[in-house]
Amino acid sequence: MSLLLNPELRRNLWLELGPARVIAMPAVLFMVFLLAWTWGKAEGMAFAAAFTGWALLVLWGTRLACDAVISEVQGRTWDGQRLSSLGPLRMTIGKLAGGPIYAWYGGVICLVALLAAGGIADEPLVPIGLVVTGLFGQAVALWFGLVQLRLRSGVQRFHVTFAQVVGIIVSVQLTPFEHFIDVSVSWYGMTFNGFEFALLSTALFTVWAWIGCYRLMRAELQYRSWPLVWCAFLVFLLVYFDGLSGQYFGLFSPFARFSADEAFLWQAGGFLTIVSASWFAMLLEPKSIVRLRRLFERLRKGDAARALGDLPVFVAGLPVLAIAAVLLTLGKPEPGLLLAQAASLVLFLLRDGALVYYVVLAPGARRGHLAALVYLVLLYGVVPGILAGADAGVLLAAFVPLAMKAPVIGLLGPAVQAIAFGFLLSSRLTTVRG
Amino acid sequence: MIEVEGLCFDYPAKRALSDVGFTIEPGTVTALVGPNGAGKTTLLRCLATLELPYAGRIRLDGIDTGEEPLRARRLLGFLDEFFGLYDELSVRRCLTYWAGAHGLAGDTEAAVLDAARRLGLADRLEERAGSLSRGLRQRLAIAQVIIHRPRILLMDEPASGLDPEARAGLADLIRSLQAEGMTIIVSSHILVELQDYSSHMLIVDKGRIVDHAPIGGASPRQRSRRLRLVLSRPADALASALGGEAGLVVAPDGLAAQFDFTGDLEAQTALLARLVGQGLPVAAFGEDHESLQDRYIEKLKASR
Repeated sequence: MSLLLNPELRRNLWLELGPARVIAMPAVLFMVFLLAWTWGKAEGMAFAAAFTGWALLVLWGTRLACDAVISEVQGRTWDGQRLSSLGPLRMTIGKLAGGPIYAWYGGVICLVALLAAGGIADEPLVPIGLVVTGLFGQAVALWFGLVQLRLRSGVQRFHVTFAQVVGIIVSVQLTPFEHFIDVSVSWYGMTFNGFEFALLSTALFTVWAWIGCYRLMRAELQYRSWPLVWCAFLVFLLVYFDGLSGQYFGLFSPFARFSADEAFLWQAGGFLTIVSASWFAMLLEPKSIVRLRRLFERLRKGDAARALGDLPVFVAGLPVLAIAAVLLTLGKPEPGLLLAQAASLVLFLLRDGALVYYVVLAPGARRGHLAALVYLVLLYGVVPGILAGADAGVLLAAFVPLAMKAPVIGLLGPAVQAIAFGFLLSSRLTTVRG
Repeated sequence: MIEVEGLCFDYPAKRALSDVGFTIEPGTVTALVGPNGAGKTTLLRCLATLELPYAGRIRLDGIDTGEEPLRARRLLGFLDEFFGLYDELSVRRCLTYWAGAHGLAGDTEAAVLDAARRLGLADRLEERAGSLSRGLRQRLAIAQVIIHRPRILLMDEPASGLDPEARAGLADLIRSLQAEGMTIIVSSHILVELQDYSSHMLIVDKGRIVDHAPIGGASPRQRSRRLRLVLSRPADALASALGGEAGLVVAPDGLAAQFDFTGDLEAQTALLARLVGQGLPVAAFGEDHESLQDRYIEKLKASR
């Protein structure tokens, strides 16, 4: 079925592009452009078109994209959609393309005006930037709306605003009034200026935002998914950062032009990024005691294929983290210390995961994620402060990832805590009333 | 048509369904009944593939819902108790959307007109859904879930909020859908109305199946109805006049009798004429709506 025959897209066209609205948008934009022309002629109109397009596609479009799902939940039509024959792909396309269709209608008019006015001097990529940032911001807003929907059964209007704000924040690198520092970036041997690199990166991450929306839609529609795509995303992050460091693929090609220290910093940045991504995945993934029980039941039965579908993604990504940790140490001085530091980060991830799951899965827990974050602030902030004040700085590595300074405590500390919280979490698995 | 084996569903600290199993034959109307919180809605949502069970298996016409949810959904229509409509769209566009969303290919106009006609909405196609009355909204919601002619229809409290006339219309609709071969499960607390059109009763309590049996003990197309005869004064001939009817129970005071009747309305008219002709002082004669409720209460008590 072609895109235009997608019923979800067609429904959005009916709702969003009524005759009055179709006429209103160009009329309002014409007035705006006319005003800008009277002030600054073609240049003024180009700036006005760029800014208005950005406002429509990012400021407003992010809200419309997220609302494409949240309004269905609030209108009690979401279950009907979940039961329809629209699969996750058509549903995702229908929501992403259809929800913000009116913003795109205005955005396209702005693009035409921008091009008609000759564009913005010395910034020929602004029209492409508008399109890419609109696509990216809207995809992230829909993705975050789905994340919130899966984290809690009831959604409210402020969740739309929250997703809108997230979509806007992550798109800030391509705002038309952003003045990039005059930097050039070398990525896999290709040199870009700051705007070009931001555009390339945003375009790459837009694809992943679409994939993220699709994966969450699959989960929402009760399709079983394996966490391989998450592992692929972690690998992509490593490859993306390697374009800057040249440490992995650069071993086989001469494009790395950094000093060894600079290259290591980019490489370590890549590793830290995948650990951070795993941490946020742990935090944002729905936590279900039923799913955990089912996971262990399937593992007990040796049903590995189905168990993979229930495995939390941050656990599924651990092999990638382990491989990346080993790669990080290759050819470096003191590889043992580096490995200890990397392992410590992973152990802290496991400890935090066990703690968050334990708190969120408490019977009758309300605002479990918020409570878990408070405990984490205590563990990462207050406890180290107490230790420092009590001249017990040697124990700091047990509570913050500083294993390079104290490898034994830096590994044992988080490991013991991870086991302790894991033991507590296991107690949650057995509490079922008939 | 519907096979459920070992179905378990857990909420975080509560087991909502425990080892539920049953089979529902094609073309039946099953009344899903039970106290509040018994697990009826959870069971319907599991059948509708909206919830993934912790354990167990559901097969709809042989399709495992856990393995192939999309295929299973093509067989299904599900009407939630708290359904929503696209208020800004016309009735025609609502139906057109759902025809497409349920996978009807090509020209959906015929399906739209057919669904509208069956639900009595043919003259309201251009009205906004948001402007319809509660009863008409209910009809539109049903039209939306049957537009793709599902073989299985699940309805959660469909009569909730309907006036008596709309409820009667709903009962007629369910009977007509059954006559077309649709397999229907209706969850409701209004047992009197369920008796009007149900062929089977499935009683759920505390997440377990308490009873699942035909109503009247016959096949759905020839099921018996429990009739109740009331006399204005006792008559000795009552028991002998009804002696051939199954399940005959005569009240000790001789003023009333109940029995199972397998005939249609014409046969019922003939029976009434015969009884009056025999000189029985008939004051009332009709279906005994208390029997389903009696059986429900009896089964629940026995299970506890």
